[in-house]
Amino acid sequence: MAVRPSVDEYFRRASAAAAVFSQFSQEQTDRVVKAVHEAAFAHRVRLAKLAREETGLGRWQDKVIKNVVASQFVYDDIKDLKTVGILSDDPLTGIVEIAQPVGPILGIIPVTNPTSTTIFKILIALKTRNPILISPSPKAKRCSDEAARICYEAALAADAPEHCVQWLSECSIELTQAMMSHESLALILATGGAGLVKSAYSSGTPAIGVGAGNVPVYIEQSADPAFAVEQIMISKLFDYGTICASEQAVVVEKANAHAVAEEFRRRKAHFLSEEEVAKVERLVYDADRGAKNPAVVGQPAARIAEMAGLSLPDDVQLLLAPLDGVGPEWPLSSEVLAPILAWYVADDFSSAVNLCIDLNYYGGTGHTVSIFSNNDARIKGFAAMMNAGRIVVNTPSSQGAVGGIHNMLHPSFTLGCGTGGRNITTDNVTASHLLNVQRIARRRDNQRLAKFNLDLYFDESLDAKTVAAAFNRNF
Amino acid sequence: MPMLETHATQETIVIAFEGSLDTARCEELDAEIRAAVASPAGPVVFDLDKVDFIASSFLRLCIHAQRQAGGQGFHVVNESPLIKRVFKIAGLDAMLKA
Repeated sequence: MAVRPSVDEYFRRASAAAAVFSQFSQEQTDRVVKAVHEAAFAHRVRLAKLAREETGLGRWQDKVIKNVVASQFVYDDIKDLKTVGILSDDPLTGIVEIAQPVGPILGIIPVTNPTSTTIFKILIALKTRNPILISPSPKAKRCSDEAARICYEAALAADAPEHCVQWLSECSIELTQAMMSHESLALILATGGAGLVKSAYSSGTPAIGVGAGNVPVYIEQSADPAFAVEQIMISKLFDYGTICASEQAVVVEKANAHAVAEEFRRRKAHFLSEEEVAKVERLVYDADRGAKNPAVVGQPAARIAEMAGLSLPDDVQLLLAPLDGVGPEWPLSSEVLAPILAWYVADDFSSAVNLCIDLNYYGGTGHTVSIFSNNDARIKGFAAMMNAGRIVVNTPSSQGAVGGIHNMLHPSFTLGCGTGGRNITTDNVTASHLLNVQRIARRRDNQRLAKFNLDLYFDESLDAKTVAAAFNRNF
Repeated sequence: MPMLETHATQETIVIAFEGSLDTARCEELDAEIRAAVASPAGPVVFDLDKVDFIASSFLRLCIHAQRQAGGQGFHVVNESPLIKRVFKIAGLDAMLKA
């Protein structure tokens, strides 16, 4: 049996890799990144099937698409980025920006997107000359390790430093915490649940974390109901709802409720009766334990219906739960990573936005919200009231938030939720977040100060307006 | 072609390296270096004046040489700033002669 390296050994190796990497030119770095992307892409189907088989979540076909986004789309987004040496040199300001790696990165991998997140984090780390240590989810260890191994072997073949990619040999809270607080660790990329993210931020090591989503999708009156419903179903059924940015609740107005509902029914979505809502609630939320049931995550609607004891057709695609409120009394008003959507009918725009605020703030602050609308004023009005890093418009929310598919957001599997989600950024995290940018500041004297009579500052009788007038006088 | 030059001054063993010490080059030099630093009678010095790149395997050779030299002392000298930074980041800057 192989002996697990000690925590110090992991970091001795990572520090050596960081040291060697520091010598790499942009060309050498990009050769490594290209090789890793090609290898990951080549294994996209095998890794997707491995992830499905090991985790039991989602659909392997959709995991292939996730791996494609993580490799091809992410590579395309970052391949031309300057990440070594001088980034900019402005003769006017005299400021030169220089890229430096941050150092060894700990990449924490969730069970929901194991191979895609592994590939993604390795690519952005290597692009910025940072060695990365992959910390897999215990329920997705085999597939995450395999993804890391494929990437590492490709990197080595392209002359990357030894140990530029490592993967932890075991999954334990003790090991993860020891790794997080090690003095040689530069940064934690914490993609996981709230507890893990809090642990990362509390470790003493700089961290970039994520938050939970509770995405409302508002189908505003000016939207085309058929288009909106089609896009929502594409999103919600993708990998059976395992992406944190997938819709959790549909909000419509009285004016379009009937038309939208008909579109859902046409596409084999089922509106739950009151009794059926109660059964699904009991399945999804264990009131005794005060916790959600993990058994529903990433399961098809028909399976969920069966687990809840509902008699529904085998080809049911989605379950819609009409609810009267948002909060603990309505368990289905919170995030459920499965093909279940809460359904709300609002009187008008204002009350629809109010409902979306309630949903957004009920466990999804900072993450993502979605709107289908052709009214730009309403889109902006809606967005201004939300606390979300991403407001996706007229797109499936899962794919929309990830980025690069239906919009120009950076493709990413680490979606920052800002302070609302107790994170440091609202960005779709990418390579540019993994650099320390240094600035040379050449002398460029402030000409107004150079011509200003400094004695005026010592005259207490002069107010800010008077001094500013003198300071800004154009001779 | 990178050269490896070994000479002894009194009891000091000085090994001067040249060029890019990548993984392949280090594999070629490994046996020769290990033989040169085996049971040294005095300090061991690696002169990196003409070196422009070092791989992890070279760092391992330095660690090996340090162990072999033991109390006699081991140092790296004449490193460029780029190479000095490698030792710093790797946490091996104690090997650099002050």
